[in-house]
Amino acid sequence: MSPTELLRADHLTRHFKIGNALSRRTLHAVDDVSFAVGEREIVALVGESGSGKSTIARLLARVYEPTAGTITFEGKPIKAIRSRRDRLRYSGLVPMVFQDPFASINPVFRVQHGVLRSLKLHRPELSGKQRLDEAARVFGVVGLGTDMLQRFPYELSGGQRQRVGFALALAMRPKLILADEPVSMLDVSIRIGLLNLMAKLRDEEGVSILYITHDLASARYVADRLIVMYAGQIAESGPIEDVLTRPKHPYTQLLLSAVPDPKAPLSEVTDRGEPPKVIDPTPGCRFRWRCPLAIDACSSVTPVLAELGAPAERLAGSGEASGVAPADRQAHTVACHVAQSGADVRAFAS
Amino acid sequence: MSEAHEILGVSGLSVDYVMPQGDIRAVDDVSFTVDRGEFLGIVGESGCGKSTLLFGVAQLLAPPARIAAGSVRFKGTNLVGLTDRQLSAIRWRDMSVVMQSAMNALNPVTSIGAQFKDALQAHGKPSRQEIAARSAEVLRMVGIDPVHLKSYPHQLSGGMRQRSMIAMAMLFTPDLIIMDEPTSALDVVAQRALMVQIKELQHTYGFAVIFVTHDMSLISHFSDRLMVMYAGQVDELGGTREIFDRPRHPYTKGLLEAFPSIRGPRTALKGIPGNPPDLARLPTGCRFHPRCPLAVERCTQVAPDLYEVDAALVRCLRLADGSMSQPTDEHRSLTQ
Repeated sequence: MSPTELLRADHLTRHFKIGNALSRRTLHAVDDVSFAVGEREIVALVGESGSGKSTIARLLARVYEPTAGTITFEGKPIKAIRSRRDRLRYSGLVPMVFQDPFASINPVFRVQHGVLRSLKLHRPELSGKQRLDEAARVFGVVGLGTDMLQRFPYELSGGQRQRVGFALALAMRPKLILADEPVSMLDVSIRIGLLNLMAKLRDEEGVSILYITHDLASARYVADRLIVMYAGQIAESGPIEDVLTRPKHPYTQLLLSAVPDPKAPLSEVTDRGEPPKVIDPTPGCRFRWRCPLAIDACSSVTPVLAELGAPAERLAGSGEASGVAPADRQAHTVACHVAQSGADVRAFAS
Repeated sequence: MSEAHEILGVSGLSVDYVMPQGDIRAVDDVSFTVDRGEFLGIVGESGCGKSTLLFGVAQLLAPPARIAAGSVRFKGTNLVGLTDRQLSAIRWRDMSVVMQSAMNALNPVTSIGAQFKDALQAHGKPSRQEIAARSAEVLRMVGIDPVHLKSYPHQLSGGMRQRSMIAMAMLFTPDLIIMDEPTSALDVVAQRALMVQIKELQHTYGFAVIFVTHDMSLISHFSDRLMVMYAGQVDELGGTREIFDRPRHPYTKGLLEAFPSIRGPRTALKGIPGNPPDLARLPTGCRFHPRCPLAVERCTQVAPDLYEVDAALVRCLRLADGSMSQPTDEHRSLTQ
């Protein structure tokens, strides 16, 4: 484990049972996903709706228990966290910021209510006066005036509310903020302000952020590393500039080619497919139906995430978390048979 | 733009929301035209009145909203003041609307085919074969297998629902299709596919499109002209490429600068400070002045008109009097 590693997920899997007594089926929301988040790092988790990115956030926040796999935080498996005190400590260190700033703040209380309550709960050593000072401090950090503490949520704009969301998370002195689409409901003109705030939290407060989004351009703007998900699995991951300038997975190339860019000529995107619902899947690459480069192996063997030019870090189906050395966090890895065979992947031009 | 090519002419349209504490003007004196086969993009933030404007154009406003002034001339007829019966004859046959959320716009308890049939029967008495043939035809046009006529909305994916809404809008091959953020609930790949599809259909069938969105970059390659709205007014109106290459209004500039790019160097962006104004408490003078980096004393007092700057219309005092020479280096730096 590298010294600055904060959180690690190994072979993280979450299945949901669907159907009724007559047709029992299993939805594979997240399947065998391994990744790590370092200190002072923004990791962007990008994928289409249904790719499992929000499920990962909920697994990390302990809203769901994983079906298989382990999550390690500061070197200890979070499964071992049992007592109320330790659970509270963990949820303070790894808080969530939600997508909808209109639904995530209690509308009947002044804005300070939530901050003061979570301070009382998570940092009981503070006196009433200190709590107020701390609330004012975190509001200052997120760019809200102290007068905002006394406001009701309806008096705030969407951007201000989302800043309150970050202030709430910040009050608990977090190590890692799980931000699930924090800017997608905001207007374009104020999104950048929130993205800048996230960068500031990393640079000045030393907080790591798992930034879940479907917007590659905003991910590129703030994130250090990128994880691209497709149908519950990681398709490609690595340092963000590396992945975006030299995308190896056909799906990453497809995503990149579809991003609207007024400054570039319109790229040809012929793909009209959609991500599959992963119900009782058979082995094989889940992107193969949309992939113009699919070979025979793609329909029988599930590709594993590996650094190109290096041997696969693990074999498909080996569910054992222990004893397997995780790939270097900074490595550019890809789960694609064609790319791993050494071929130059150019599925979709961007 | 000759009169003969013009299919829609909106002039001086104002829409009020009648409130107990006083009327709120959501759309203020908006004028524009749409030519046959043209693609007009309307861009703005939430609350800028873009959706209200669309509803006003399509005569779909319901209380407390009402048209306070202006006219909507569609193929020579002023739609404002027409009765529901008169409007029914035009709606869907000559002009159709694709709403923002296909999840809510489609009836969840009837099949897609039944909804198509409903629309077809509203204008004439087609036979069962005619209904089946036309319904299958429009679904094929948008790339959906006609077996889905039997499907219910929940059985289709978001992209398919949105495409079937567009198929429904094309049942009568109208002259104008109004689209209110039809792609906002879709993923990037599906978004792009839908935009390309709309453009292809437009090319084949020659209808005009009014496309409302908050995402400027989405329509940069698809719309012919662009109208930027701010706080109920038109801020800038001109050729799409023109506006992207040389945005004139400080707000348009700010909007364009607010998009991080997927290519090129990673540069720090600032966005636009502040928030859009509350329409009930509008700032004096130019509505954008509290957020404008170029505002001068006069901007806080004098409400600017739409001025013609080169080929575009721009609502900015500083451009009108030439106190800011065009194009400035600031503008140029943006487009590089």
